[in-house]
Amino acid sequence: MLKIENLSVSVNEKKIIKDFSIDVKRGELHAIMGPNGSGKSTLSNFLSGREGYQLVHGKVLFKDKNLLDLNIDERARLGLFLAFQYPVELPGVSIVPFLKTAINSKLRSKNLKEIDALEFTKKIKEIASFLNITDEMLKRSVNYEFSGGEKKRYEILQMTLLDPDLSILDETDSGLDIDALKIVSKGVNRVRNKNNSMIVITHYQRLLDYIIPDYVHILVDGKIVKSGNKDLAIELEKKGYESFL
Amino acid sequence: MPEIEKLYNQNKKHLIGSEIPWLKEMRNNILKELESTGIPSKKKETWKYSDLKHVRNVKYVFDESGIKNERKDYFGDVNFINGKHISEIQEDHIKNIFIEKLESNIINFEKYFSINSNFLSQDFITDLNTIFLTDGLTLSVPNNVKTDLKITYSNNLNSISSYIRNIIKVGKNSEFQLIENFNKDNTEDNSSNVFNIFWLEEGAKVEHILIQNAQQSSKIAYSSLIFCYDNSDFEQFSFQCGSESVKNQHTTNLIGRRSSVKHYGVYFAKDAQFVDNKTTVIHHEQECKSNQIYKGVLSDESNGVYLSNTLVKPEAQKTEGYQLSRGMLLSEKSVLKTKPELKIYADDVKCSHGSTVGEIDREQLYYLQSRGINKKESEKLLIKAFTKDVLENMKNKESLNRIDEIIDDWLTE
Repeated sequence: MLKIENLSVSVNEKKIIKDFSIDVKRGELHAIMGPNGSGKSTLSNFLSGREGYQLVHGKVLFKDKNLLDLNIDERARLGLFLAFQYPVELPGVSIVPFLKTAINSKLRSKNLKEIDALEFTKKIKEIASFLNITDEMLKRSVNYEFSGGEKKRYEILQMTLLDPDLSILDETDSGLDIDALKIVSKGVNRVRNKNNSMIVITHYQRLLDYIIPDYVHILVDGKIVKSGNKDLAIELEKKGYESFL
Repeated sequence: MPEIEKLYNQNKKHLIGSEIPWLKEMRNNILKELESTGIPSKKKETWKYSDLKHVRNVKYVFDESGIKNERKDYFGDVNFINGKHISEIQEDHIKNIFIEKLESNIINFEKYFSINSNFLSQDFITDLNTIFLTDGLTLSVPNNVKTDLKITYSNNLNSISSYIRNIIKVGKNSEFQLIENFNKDNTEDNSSNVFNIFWLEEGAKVEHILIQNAQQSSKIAYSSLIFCYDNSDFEQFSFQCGSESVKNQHTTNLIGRRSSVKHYGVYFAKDAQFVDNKTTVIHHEQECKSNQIYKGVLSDESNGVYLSNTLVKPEAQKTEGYQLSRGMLLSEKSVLKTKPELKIYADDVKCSHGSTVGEIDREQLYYLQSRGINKKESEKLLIKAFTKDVLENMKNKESLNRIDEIIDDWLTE
């Protein structure tokens, strides 16, 4: 699904990601853990196509296509989804028309028929109720005046609707209390299946109690210093990042 | 200046009210005044930021040949073609509103003509309107009714200049919705100068919607002068999209206690278009509220100007006055000049003003694109979102939908 080889990325001429490689296969969930400033968010932002990040060298293949040849929206339509650490507020952009535009953009790019209005409403209501998102919240502007927890639940709602092949969850657990964490995890697990892949980026092992990873990688100073299975996260929790520096 | 006087002398006999002594005198006084001050230039504060196209090449064309039997689908309840009201009748009742032609009894309207010399003194645009008046109506909404009226302004000849004045009285506790449309037609080089005076009696509520979507080569100057008595509310939505140059000025006098006014505006301009809006609120009495909120989107080499003014007189205690101007520039060559002014002579008031000019927010654009929406569509969503909070206050949903369609067309052109 996603193959990154020897990737180095710089921000303002400073190298943040250094010779990073990963191979995420269909159906796999990889957790990337790392201390502050290790390059976790740089990686997710760079992969989504955000401005301000420069490729130094390396290759990124997504569904056998060169991801770096595509712009932000082309990557998304190909099936990449980034759940933002800090979702952007869009006052005046109503949630429902926004979601419909997003879904239809994807359908159109695959030469498929646009979604039926009734079917869409049914679908969105079902997902919203699963994620404890009220009807009132669906009437608001995108992320506007949402609480931290509401924003994260709303990211998962979008992810569920858009049904991506690869989801990158950038510190989706940050700022969540335990109840919200459970709802968000439940939402992620619902989307997870054998045909899609996920990369979960987090500081803490806590999230991985609810979203069980197939692989865990420890990122320090832009490099993977150790990879393993879910037990690595437990080891990390005990020993702290210092033992991996 | 001599050109204006020459034009006046050439066309005197066609002008409305040419035989009425007080109007003749008023016109002569304006011409005399113009002779001493000259036509406005950028040196004059009120014209400093404005488009001087409205000053140069002032025209008066007398041609009534296009007026006969005009009918088009978009026509309103009341229609002006080439500066003339198309109905032959002198007076009529439409939707409970008593309508009279200004021409038929202009003799009774001296006070409505002298009024602008008190409130819009030496104003070139309304002075031209007084001199070259081509037509106008008086609309009287009786007490305690709820009604609405649509007025359209259009042309079917090229190079026409219209000078129209309407006097609109809204009776006690009545609710009145007035929609004015400057329509797109297939003509060239037309200019309109419309001046409307509104009187709101006690408890009257007016929603005034002004849609200026005329063709590219047109010039529009629109002035409104509003008087609000006790407990009356005037709510105005001014929308511009199209026209080579638009110059609007709206002046509200809150002369009754607990009266309120909202001047809302949304404007779009592209190419080399020029949109110039000015709103003024004068708080004469206590416990009145005013809101002046304008948002503009400018592209290509277009120019926008928005000046807002609040004047709080010493008697006007417990005033609440709010001003906001926001601009979105879509190109490096587009320019917005905006200036809020507050003059407060009372001590117990709440007043504020804000003004920002910016571009499309890159973070917002990135977020939308990351959901698979292409850049162009994402920009459209953000541009519409920018004006939404102003437009969604509009109660007349038909007009709101029409404006929405005009914006969609503007965004896809």
